[in-house]
Amino acid sequence: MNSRVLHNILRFIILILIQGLFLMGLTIDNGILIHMNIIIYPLAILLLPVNTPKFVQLLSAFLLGIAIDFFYNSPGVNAATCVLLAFSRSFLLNRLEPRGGYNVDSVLTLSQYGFKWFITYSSIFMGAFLLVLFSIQQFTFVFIHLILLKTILSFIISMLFIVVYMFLFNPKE
Amino acid sequence: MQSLLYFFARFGNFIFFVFLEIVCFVLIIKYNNTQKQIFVNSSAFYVGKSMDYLNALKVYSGLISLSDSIAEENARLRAKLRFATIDASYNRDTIVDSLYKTRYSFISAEVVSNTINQPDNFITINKGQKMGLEPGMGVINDNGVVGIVRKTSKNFATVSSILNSQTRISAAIKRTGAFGSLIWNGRDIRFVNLQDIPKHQQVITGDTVITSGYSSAFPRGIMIGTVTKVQFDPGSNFYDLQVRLGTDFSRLNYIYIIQDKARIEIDSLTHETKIIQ
Repeated sequence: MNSRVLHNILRFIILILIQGLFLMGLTIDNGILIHMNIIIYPLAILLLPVNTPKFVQLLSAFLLGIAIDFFYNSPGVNAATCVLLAFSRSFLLNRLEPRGGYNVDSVLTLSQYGFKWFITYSSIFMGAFLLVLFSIQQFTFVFIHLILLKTILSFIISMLFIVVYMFLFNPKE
Repeated sequence: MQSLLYFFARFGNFIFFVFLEIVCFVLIIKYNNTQKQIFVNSSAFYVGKSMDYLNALKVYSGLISLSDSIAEENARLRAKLRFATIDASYNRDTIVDSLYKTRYSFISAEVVSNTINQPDNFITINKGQKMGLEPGMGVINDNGVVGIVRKTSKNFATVSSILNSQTRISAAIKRTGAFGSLIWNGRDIRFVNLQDIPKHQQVITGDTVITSGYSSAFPRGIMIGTVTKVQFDPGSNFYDLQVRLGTDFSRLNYIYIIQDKARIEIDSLTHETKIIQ
């Protein structure tokens, strides 16, 4: 149990560092591709074990968002998105419950539930996450086309990075 | 107690979620400039709009007393009209002198929100920069002085009414011409105090108080109210007069903003004089 908690905390820290120190600076300064943001840190919330207390999920999502906001210099924007998605994650998990049910103690691994399930789950999660994030960033739906453009571009590249991350680290606990 | 615990067990997470989101949005609005601007602008817009709707209801319910006061005002205007025609024909007969052009023009507006129970009361009206309103303009209704325009946005403006400790209006006794300044003591919305009138002037109860015309906000002679109590502090050289306001601030619907065409000229002249000194 303790090592599991430790693993999750470690994942939070690693993802914050990858996102804040490395991926934040990665932009392609070429036409509309400038709107492409690589965002993989929501993986920390996405992978939390199913039986994590809701309270802990919300609080850790808030702290994660605030930490990312320090790097992005946008207090509250990422935190608000993280908290919202952490709150609605359980509804998504209920919807997507596999036939055998969840292994409630462990993180949601690729090997356990299969590639197809994981892609469905993570793309719905990330799609919603990016849409909410860019909406809060713009703070008005006047620029809805810009919000959608950013969401779609960032979604494609972020999902690519998430799959790479999952194969590279292959989290088990 | 048990049901309270049950409530928290059931909805605690949701409450915590809402709490965290509120914290986040406070952070967003406080520390992000873009979002702050959007929030401030749109909230002002929506507040103004909803006040407008609310007021439409209020105006409708007050139509009967309103029609009375309109009839009254009509009568008064008609009386003035006779003078106006004579005056105009007279002017046409003589040389057209730019000095005698109209100096003041009036813009009518509707009150969208009004407070009377604060130490500093403000009125919001539905005319703004678009119609040429500027801070410092005087505001009246058909019963007397209302206040001074404090801030303007595109379509709305806030007026600090007489019932505001920041508002100073130069007033005079109509009969003698002695002038002083009008201050609200923050207690009764029907009365204000007229101060700084020296003791050697004769003031009696029932004297009419009008605007003095010494500031560019109001022309001379606009009704403010009547003196109801004459008193002076021992040891002071000035009267402390209680004045009953002509305007009833508890039911304020239509007002007029006074636009002084000579204002810029007067202001720059005063400013220059101050620099010379």
